[in-house]
Amino acid sequence: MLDTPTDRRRTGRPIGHGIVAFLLALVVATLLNADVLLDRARELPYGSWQRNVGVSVMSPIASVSGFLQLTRPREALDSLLGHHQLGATGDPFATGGPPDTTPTTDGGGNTGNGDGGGNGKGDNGKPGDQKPDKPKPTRADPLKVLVIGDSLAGDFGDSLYQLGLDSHVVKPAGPVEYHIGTGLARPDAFNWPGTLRSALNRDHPGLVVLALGLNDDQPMEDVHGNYLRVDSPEWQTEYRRRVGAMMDIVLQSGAWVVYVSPPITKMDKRNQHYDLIRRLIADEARERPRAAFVDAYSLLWSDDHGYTDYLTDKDGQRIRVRLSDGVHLAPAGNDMLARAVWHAMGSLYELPRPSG
Amino acid sequence: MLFPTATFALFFALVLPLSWLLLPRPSVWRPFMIGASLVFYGWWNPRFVLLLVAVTVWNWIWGNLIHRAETDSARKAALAVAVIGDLSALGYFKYANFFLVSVDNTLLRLNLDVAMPVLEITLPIGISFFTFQALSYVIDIKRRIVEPVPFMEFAVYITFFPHLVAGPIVRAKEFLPQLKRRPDPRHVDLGLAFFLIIFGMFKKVVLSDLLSSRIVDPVFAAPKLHSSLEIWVATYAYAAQIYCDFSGYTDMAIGLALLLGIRFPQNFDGPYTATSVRDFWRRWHMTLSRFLRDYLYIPLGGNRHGRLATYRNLMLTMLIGGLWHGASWTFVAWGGLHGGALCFEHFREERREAKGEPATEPSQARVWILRLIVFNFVCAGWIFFRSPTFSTAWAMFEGLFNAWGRPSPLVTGSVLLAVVAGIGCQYIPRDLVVSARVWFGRLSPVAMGLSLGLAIVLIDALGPQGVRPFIYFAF
Repeated sequence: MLDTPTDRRRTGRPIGHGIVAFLLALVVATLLNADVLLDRARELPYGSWQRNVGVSVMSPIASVSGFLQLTRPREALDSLLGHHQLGATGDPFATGGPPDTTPTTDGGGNTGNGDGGGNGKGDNGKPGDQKPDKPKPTRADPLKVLVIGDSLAGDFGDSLYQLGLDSHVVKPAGPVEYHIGTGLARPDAFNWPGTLRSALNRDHPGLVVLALGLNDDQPMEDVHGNYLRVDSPEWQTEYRRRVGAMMDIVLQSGAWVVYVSPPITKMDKRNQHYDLIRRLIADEARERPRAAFVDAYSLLWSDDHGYTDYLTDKDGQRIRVRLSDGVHLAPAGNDMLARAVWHAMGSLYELPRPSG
Repeated sequence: MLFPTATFALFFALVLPLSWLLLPRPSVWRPFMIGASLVFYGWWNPRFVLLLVAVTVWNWIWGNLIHRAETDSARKAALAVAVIGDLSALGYFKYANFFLVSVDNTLLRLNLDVAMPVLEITLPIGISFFTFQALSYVIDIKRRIVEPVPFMEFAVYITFFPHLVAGPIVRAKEFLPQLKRRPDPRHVDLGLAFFLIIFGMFKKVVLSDLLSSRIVDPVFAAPKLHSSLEIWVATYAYAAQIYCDFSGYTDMAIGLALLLGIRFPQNFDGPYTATSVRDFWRRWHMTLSRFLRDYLYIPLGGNRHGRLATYRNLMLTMLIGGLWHGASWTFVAWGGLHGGALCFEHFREERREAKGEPATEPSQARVWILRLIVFNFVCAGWIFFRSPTFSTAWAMFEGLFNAWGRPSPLVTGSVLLAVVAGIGCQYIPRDLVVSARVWFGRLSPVAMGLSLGLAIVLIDALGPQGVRPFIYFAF
């Protein structure tokens, strides 16, 4: 059996042989995996010493390895296993702008509005927007919802689907599509626009709930390769463009969109970025009549607007809403966020009150 | 730092040759190894290095005081202070909020609205492991099983990076003597060490992470959304995942320590081949089972004070063992389930002995039936263990039976293959594995290095992108 053995058959060898074998294994694995390791080094935050060292070390190794065609076996293996290249070329966020937002007939001549206010906060759309009737999903014609995003989507997505199933008028368009450690800041590490388009083509949802931003507290490069320091005005402009592009990709498919901000976390430094990110998302959502915004940041903060592991539910019970990492949500937090998303969906559609 | 990452590979590539180079000079080797281990631990969160140092200093001082105490009562009192200190640190970081919230909610049920303070505490990785090891040192000094050692030796024992964050729980009497007799650099079991590292990586990176991402996490997150078939497969998949994850980690830990000249005790022995729950605990997380037996069950009285006291001691040991795994009532329920099963097995054994029936060797068919029953019992326990709340656990149990006929897109060929591999690898004949290891150990260093390099590439390609933290880091 493949557990630690109890036999004492000795196969003693000089440790020098072991050190040679270990170092040789590292060299072989590095040469054969050079492209993959270079990609992983590039995925590290822009400007960090780990990224600088990793890219500086791996770039020449990858060149030599490529020249000697040593990366071919790994490429063949990835191709055999159906793995795709990580990097995205060009500008994956190029969408051609928002679709026509003139109120159109859609199951009763309805539109959504710019701010669903998942926390029950915020206004309702930009000035001048009409406030049309909302579409009303039915058992016979349910609203198909797709939850997609980073690990936060993986946290609350299934809770939202459960609310939908309980209501009988909302059903999942497909499994929650979440990719841990991804975001909009690094299209070279994960191509979210491409992934979103594939999901839309595959599942044909009527409404998409996007949750991205937890991993975007890092520098970016714009389409011209300029380094954008995190939270600088240029960074904000570019990040807002990317958020808008994600919304537009959904809207262009004919679906509507609810965008969930990152929640407040235990790390004060990261919260500064998340606070900014949620404002940028809210601004973009406000400009699109069929988009709504859920402020997970303020939904999960304490009475004094700080981080808390525990909140009080409607019965007065102290419930744990966060996991011990101070970032992700505990089951009760998932349920709370799912209800906030449901509330925001209710600003776009006529939905029953959630059960329970 | 996680073992199967490029960062750790570079770290170990430096530590391994330097360690052997410095080994002839223990006064240099010990600070070097302590420093390397603190870098390894601090890579995650440098603040908690202070906690590790504090636990080390505290237990070393009390170990000496216990040893010097002249009367038995003084030794007992000194031990009590040491243990209270250790358990206080563990209790604060791991159980403070669990306790406060439980009290708060109980008071609310009694209509007493007394808001208990809630603390924002980050759980230091591996605190349960290094605290237990420190406890074994002071308790064994009190029992006169080990002698106090110089501070640097003790610090190497507590901080030694291969076992630091997720075990195995190596006891002082197993580790400290190895520091006295210097390992022979001419005879290192390379075949065993590399075999454990590579198969540990495979179990963790390929099998465990694949099962976790493809079926276990989605199903346990929302059981009501999934079919009965998916819930059955997810339950077995979790059994395979937790085995591959934890035994994969300890395999790597044992292999890495072996390369550094230190031998760790075995931690798993084909647990899903067990034919009774007692047998399961002899094969699963063996170092924890031994720890709980020697430092909790036997001091409670063991089986020395009659049947009822034995059952009480068994239940207490398993309930506390359950709580050791995490601050949640679902872990307590898991411990209680196993405790109940152990009591039942004791009861049956006693009845058989009372009737004067001899213990017979079961037939092969009976062995397989027993294995099947025990495995499914263990899987039922894992449902409580993995579920974040009791409502999730009940939903899982209900879903096992009442959601047939729904589509099951999560049950794929690769998932089934990984479940079969994760459980089936425990049934591979031992001789076959040993022969393969011996053969590998006889390869030339170049052939060994080439095959290890290719294995790493294959594991990296087969595994999902990124390595998830080990399950037992949180315990």
